[in-house]
Amino acid sequence: MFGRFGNLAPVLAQNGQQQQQRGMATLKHISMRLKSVKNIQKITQSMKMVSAAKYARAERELRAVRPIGDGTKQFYEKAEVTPIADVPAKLVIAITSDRGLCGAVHTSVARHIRNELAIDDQNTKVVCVGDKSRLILQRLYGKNIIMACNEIGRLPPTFIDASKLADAILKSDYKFNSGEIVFNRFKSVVSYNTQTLPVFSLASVTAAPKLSIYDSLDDEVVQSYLEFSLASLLFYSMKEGACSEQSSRMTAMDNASKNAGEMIDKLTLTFNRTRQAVITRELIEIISGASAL
Amino acid sequence: MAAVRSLSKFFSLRSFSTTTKRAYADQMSFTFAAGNQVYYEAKSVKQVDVPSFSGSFGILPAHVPTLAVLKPGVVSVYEDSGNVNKIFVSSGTVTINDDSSVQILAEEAHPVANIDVGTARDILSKAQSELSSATNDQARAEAEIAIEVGEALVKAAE
Amino acid sequence: MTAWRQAGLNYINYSNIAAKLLRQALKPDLRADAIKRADTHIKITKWENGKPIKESTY
Repeated sequence: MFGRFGNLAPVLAQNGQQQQQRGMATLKHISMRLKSVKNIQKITQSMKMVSAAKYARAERELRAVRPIGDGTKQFYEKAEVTPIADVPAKLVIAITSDRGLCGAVHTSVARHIRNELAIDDQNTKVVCVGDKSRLILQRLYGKNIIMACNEIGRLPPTFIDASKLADAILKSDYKFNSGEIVFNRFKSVVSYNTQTLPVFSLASVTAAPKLSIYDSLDDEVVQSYLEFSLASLLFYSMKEGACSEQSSRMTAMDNASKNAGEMIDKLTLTFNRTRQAVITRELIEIISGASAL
Repeated sequence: MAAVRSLSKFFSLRSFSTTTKRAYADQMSFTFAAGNQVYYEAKSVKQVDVPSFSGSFGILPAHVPTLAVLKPGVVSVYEDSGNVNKIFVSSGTVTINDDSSVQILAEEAHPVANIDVGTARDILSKAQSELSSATNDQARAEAEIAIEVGEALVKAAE
Repeated sequence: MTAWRQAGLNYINYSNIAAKLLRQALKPDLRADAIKRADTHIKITKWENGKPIKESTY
């Protein structure tokens, strides 16, 4: 009799302890989760603040750069420049940045290029601006990349950045006939468009049907003009890209903070409920223990 | 999110005006934008004088379409009000289209009044000494460009 | 052909030099700000056959 009790007692005690331990552990786990989610929310909130400030600056700067982009585009449109049909060599310039956590801005640029490469990857070469586009494209189309740029996105792009890139493209061995710049055009805080800007070689510009209406041109002037235009177009598209990126990051971080907030609410509720349950169970144990006496 | 939405409303109200207004044939639609500042955007002006590689020339409304590349120097804008605005440009392009729209796009442009004469002279003399110590073609070409810029700066600031 | 093009420079190089000097020639109170705005950090690397070429940074 005694022996049976002796045997049973530790089992009961063990059971109770185990249960209690599990209760305590969940409580502790929940509070740990809660803490980490709160920390994450703090981070996303401050990232949102930072990108809001950066966005405001990028938007202001973009407004000053748009006339440059539009002005440069106009000549190509008005002179009706088209690529020479029999030379297929094409260049695609992807404008992204090094930094992530900004929604789908980089992927949408990369996807656009991937679709183009899927059609023809023999005569198309890619220049990746920013680590993100390179990382996405290098796995499948690494052989098509002729140039990659990084250290983009931490600070706003400058004209010198763009001219360095334009210079490198012009001095590279790849002789392209036509090209395009793929970038995100900023529309509003919550939206952007992935667009392309055309880039042409000297040969295709001099062959343009409406170039003859432009007076007194020699090749040297046109060449210098195109060199400068390339730098301006790159500068413009980098600014558009930077602005879209910051606005998109702002929205992404805002959503992340909101989601974290929801999670915190749910976790707090579970935490309180579990705590209540633990207390109740302890009370039951004490009372039943007392009544057993 | 509410903040973001109100921001977006704010910006859409202010609405980017990117489309250049189509001008009448006897009126110039003049855009002058530099990497550092936009000076004119689709404004009507009387005349613009620009320094280019094919020589300095004046642009009046309904100028024959042409392209030109800028040389460092002073762009003079004769505004409709009679004001003359003198702006120093480093380099860039001039486009005159057949719809009488004119675009000057410069890498850097500053009002002539912002140039410091003393520093401009220093830049010129430094460039001259660089030319005499240049050892290869590229260094010589760079020094020659610097002299050209320096001379233009001194001339404009004086 | 201009002398600088013969020496292997293009109009972008020309423009960069001219813009740099213009910024330096500004009145002292405007100069620092203009020069600060014209900073550059971009790093460009050539790629070949899916791999970067190490010593090719421009």
